[in-house]
Amino acid sequence: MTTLFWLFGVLAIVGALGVLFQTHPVRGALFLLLNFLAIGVLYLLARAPFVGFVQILVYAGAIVVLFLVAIMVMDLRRLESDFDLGLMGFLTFVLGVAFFVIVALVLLKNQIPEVSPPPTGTPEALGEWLFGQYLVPFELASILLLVAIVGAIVLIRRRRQDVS
Amino acid sequence: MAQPIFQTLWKTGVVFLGALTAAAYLVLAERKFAGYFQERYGPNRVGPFGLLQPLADAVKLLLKEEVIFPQASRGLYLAAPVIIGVAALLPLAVIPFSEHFYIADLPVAVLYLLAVGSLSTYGVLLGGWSSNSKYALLGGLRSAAQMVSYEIAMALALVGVALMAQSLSLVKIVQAQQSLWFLIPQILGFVVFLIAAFAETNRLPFDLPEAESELVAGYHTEYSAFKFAMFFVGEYIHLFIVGCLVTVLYLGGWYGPWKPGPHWFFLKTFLVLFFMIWVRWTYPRFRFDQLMRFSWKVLIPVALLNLLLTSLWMAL
Amino acid sequence: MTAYLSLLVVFVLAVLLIGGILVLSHLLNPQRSTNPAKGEAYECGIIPKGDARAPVSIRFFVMALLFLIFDIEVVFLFPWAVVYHKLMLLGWIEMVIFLGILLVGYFYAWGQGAFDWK
Repeated sequence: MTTLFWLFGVLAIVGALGVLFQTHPVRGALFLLLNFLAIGVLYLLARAPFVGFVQILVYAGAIVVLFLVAIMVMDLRRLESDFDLGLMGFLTFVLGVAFFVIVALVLLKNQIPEVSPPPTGTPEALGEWLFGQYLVPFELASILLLVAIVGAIVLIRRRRQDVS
Repeated sequence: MAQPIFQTLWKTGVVFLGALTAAAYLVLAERKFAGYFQERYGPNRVGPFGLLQPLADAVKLLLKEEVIFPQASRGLYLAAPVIIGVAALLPLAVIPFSEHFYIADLPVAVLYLLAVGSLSTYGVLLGGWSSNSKYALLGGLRSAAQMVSYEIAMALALVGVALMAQSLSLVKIVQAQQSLWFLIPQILGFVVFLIAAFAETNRLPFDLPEAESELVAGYHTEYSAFKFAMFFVGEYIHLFIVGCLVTVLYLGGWYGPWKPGPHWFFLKTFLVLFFMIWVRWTYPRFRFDQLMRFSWKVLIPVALLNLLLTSLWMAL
Repeated sequence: MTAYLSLLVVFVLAVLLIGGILVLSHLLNPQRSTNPAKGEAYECGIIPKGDARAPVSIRFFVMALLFLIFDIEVVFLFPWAVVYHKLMLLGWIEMVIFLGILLVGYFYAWGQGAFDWK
């Protein structure tokens, strides 16, 4: 089990580094896919099968597909040449460092438990929580999804007006 | 520890060989039935009734000249058929062929099927893109858009089954159908699942990704020899799996009027597959806009309605 | 846990089988003449013009985006389905509220023509 953990842990890191250093957008997206898949397997190893398969279904199966389609929809050569991040790049850098510092602080302050967690990642356990104790956050999630739908449609509509 | 691994090894070997044979003979069955539907004989030269035709096809495809398309992105171009083949084989891991013969009984098998199914999108998307050919790119994108649109409807239909069986394990889903097949209480879900299955397997009337009259062959236009065959084999393994899944989810799996066993499973699977072949050679092709509209405006609302009705009926 | 190890075995065997077949086909494959015309993209005999990776319709992107959102919605339904027999009518109302909010977005997308492929 530990061997598998190390194997997929290293694969996840390789994927993440690949996203950083691969300049070709399609190959970069595929490294992201590797990272998502490896993390999905890590969830399975942590006895959270529901979370693991949802990770693969949503992240590897939908989000990377979205990225790939976005790359194919755009003009690739323009994407390669006009890659100037400017202010956006600076902000991303600051946020990234801040996030890293927070994670590091949390990790340093809290001991990581040695024993493996109880099986909480099963659909049954999650169902009991989502529809009992955490009902309000669950219903709020639907509003979040609603905002995402509306946002997507508005974004596209503006695009279409720009073109016409 | 060593014992279960050894068991998994031989079971997987049997299942893989079985699925490859099934795929090869499905191609023959399709050509044969197509022949009869169109009042001709179909393949009948190689072996009695053309039964050795799949073997001849395999040898021929193995020996064909391999053109590695020079303008293609080489790595991805070579990887795409592997992804297609592997993604087609993976769902076999959780299909219960009888009460005791299955590779793994996952408590979350339905999610596993959806997760693995979503990975086959990469095969067509990357195959289409890496070929660096206009027909292939359009075919790949169309195929991906179609697969993802019908995946939602299919997943919603699966929720109905999970609701009735109170489990996501395929073995438990079949066991829940001992007295009554889900076909009857889940008739709406069954219809949605079957239609989505036609679209997921890229078969007529939903075969737009490879509509030969407009896209030559779609995402595998630039593939030759066994790399081409891999797309073909993948498609037919996928078809076989869909037949198995309809049997498991809606037709009571290994249960039958008499003694339960794998023979019922295979009989039902064969009937489902025959139906799918029959439909393919009967109906014309949709237009792409009709296809997309149908999934989002008809199938998804019907699947949601099915869910609400099923759950309300269970609560009352 | 053994069930998940079986999945790993299945995956490894699948890669070996598919990879093996393709390698075998590569080894058996005859080397014939290398005609430059074989390397041209197939466009029904007409010489290919321009780059194949031209930008395509943004519709494909909209579809992928809507798929992502509805996929997440479906994922929430599975834990609900397996515990539904404990919740019954209360669970039904909870889900109707969740889906009801999402249906607003669905009909908005419908009204904006997101499902029409033009």
